[in-house]
Amino acid sequence: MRPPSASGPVPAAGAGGAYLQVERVWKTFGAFVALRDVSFDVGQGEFVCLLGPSGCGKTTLLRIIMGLEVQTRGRVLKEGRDISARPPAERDFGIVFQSYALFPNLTVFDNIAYGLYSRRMSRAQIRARVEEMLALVGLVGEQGKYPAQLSGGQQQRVALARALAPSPSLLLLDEPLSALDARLRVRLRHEVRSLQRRLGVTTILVTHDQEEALTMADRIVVMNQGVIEQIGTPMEVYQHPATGFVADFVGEMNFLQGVLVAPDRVRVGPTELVCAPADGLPAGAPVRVCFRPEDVDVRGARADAVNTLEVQVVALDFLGSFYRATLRPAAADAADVRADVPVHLQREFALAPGQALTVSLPADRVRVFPGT
Amino acid sequence: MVTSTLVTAAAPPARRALARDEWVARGGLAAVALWLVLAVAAPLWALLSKSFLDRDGRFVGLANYAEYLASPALASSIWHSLGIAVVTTGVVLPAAFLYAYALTRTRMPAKGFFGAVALIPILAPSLLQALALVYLFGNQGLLRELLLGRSIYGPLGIVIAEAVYCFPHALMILTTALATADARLYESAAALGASPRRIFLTVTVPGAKYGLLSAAFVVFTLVITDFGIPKVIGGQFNVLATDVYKQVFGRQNFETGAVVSMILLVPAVLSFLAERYVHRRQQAALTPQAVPLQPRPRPAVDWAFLGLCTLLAVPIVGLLVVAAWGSFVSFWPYNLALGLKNYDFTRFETQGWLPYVNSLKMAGATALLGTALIFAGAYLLEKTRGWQPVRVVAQLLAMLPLAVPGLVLGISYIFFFNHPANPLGFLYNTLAIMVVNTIVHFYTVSHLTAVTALKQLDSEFEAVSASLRAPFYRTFARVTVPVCLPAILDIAVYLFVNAMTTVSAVIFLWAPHTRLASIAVVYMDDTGQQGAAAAMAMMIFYTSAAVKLLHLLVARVLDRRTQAWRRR
Repeated sequence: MRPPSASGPVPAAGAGGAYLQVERVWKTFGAFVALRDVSFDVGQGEFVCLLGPSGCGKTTLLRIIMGLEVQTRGRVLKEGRDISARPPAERDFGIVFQSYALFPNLTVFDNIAYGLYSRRMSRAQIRARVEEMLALVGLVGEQGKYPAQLSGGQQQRVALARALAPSPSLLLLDEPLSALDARLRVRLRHEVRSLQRRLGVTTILVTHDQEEALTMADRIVVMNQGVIEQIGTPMEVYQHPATGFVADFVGEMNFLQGVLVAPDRVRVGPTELVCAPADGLPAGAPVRVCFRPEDVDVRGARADAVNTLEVQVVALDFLGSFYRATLRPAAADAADVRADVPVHLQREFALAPGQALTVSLPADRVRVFPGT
Repeated sequence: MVTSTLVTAAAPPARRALARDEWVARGGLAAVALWLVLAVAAPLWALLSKSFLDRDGRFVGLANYAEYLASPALASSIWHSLGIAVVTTGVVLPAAFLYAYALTRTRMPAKGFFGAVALIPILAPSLLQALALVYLFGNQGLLRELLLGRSIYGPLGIVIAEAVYCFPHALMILTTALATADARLYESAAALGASPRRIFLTVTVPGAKYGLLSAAFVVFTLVITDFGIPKVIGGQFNVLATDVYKQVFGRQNFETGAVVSMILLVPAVLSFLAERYVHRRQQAALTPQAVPLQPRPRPAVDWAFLGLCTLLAVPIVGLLVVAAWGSFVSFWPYNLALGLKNYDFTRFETQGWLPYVNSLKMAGATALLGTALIFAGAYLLEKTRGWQPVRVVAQLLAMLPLAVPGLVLGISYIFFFNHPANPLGFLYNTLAIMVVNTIVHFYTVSHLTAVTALKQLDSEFEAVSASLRAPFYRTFARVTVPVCLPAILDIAVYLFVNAMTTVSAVIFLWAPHTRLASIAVVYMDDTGQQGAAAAMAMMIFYTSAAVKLLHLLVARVLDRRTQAWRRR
């Protein structure tokens, strides 16, 4: 194990150092398989996001970790001990639901104190702890209000304070920000993340919002149809998607049909592109070739450029901080490609629809996945 | 991949231990299921099997049915019952629809007054309308000449009394149906140039279609299963409900009684199923984006509806006033001096006020125990987890009583609890069995009220409690019950009022020392003591009305005290 560094919490250090382990978990509802042989670890103090589209099984997985659902097979371990058989109350986990599930007839104070009554604390201790939590989430002075009298963001903080008040060893967040409007959501991402850093509480967040996962997580577990597609840091997941699904789901991506000619060469239509080496795919295999719109270099064919492509600008959409260009390759049967052009480059090149252009693609940014 | 699947498949499936409060929940669920089996399923099974047995308990197949249907006098009551039910439905439905329209879609003055007046018949036993009709049009009636020689005893009296008695039930359904209108439909229709008449026929009526169907089913079932009105004003006109009574009490012919009960169950079950179907369709038809309709003043229409509602309110208020008057009159119609002599029940029977006291006890116990049982039962069924098959069976049994007419339920209780081998037989001839019977009789509507209230609570309260190490029953007491208090009050008052006014089920279950006020009305009327019958019926009305007023008061106070957390 590495010593804790100043830059952040310790990432999971293999099975031995993991705080929580999900081990080969299956969940079936009749004939429907909601989770298929799912395994991952969460390190002490780590912030892990379960990311996937709705219906991918991420919420079911969270409920299994909490003990609200029982897995069909597999184990959940906390500090190496199997807790699969323990009811939720004995797991010492806190949870915040998408709806917050605040008790409407109890004040903010009583909501936050709710889990403290079960812990044999004196009234004075409870009061002190609630005040501590109110200060932590920035709601001092609001303790006498009822949930209906608070804004959505304040309700979210009460739910967070209520879950954190009994000092749980693990915090589970089920889409906690998705009920808020976009601007507030962005602000609360940072608030929740900095709160988690300060307390050092191990956290699992479930979300379908890839931007949320990328900005908040130490590590992301990408799920699809009950299966884990990839586990990695936000950077790894974004830059080196392990599967076509991850490439498509996280961030914007261009997909082209191609055929592999060598481990690091792929043919798209008449053009041959150099790509990141594809493991385990034989030459001649049909593949999906993908690259991100921001990796398309519109500065033309320079000396060091590889993978040059003759294209024509079909459309140009202004999206605020950049332009998204739709480019049509000169080769007759190739599909359109999207490219993101930063504003300063657009000032320089002044692209316009109808204009012919040479673009290039950095070889290490072109990835291939097994095609259909 | 194949090997890993095999390895996993060989591992034992995961199981989770139950926390202590989860054992409590399982225990509660088992108790609710057991209660429903004993109080609903077992008696009905006893009735069903009885209809296939002869007097000596031998299985005779459908012989009892064949015998009953072969006797022309008895079979004619089927047609009588159907005829009365169809005619009454035909009378009540348009009247209630127009009344509901006036209350929801016009700016008619005094809406609150008319809304309250229409609910009067719910607060009194159905006998009251029949008694008042006898006062007016009976053999010694004040207005007998208006009938031009026809007799009020028979179909005419039954239909009038049933129509008044069923009116509020139809009205409540139709008011709900018309209240949930989408203003956008009306705006579109008006924008397309449709005339008011066309809008009414193409938007209003189709929008209330399911409400109309539902109201029709409810009225039909109420009439076909009602016992009090045909008993008091039916004369020689036999209907199914009075047949059951005669077979069981007059002739001690329990097997035929069981057969008639089973026949009575058919239309009730059919209309129950149809009602459920319609209900589901109606829910699907409502969208959350609907904009509520605000009626605009239309002077001519508003005044016309005021006239119509006044006309419709006359028989409702009139019959109540006549019954009240009759209860104070010394000797109808010869001595119209007013006095309280009819309320001195010791003059008419040795038990004096005992039936009324019994009714209070029975209704109080039904409201208290019934509300606790039904709400806790609904909570356990809706909000706890595990034991799915038990849950499904219990939910089904909770819905069943709505399809079972009171008379049928009463008879089935005789068969089940009076069976010599039943260890619960000690309940027979006690107030307790009437409490149990009445709770079951009105179980479904109360259960649905509770379920509706519970469904409005966040479904994660129990999960949050578990994560905070709070047992579910603490959250039930601190959150669920306080939040659902208005619904709980509704259930308690509903049970109390119905326990005070019901006749049909308990008529089979009373013993001399447990006779109820509503039953005393039937017997005093039977023995020609109309004044006392009216007085007793009015006592029931006063009590129900007082409880209802108290309910409104408490609900208002409650609303004011909890508005801090109910509203923004």
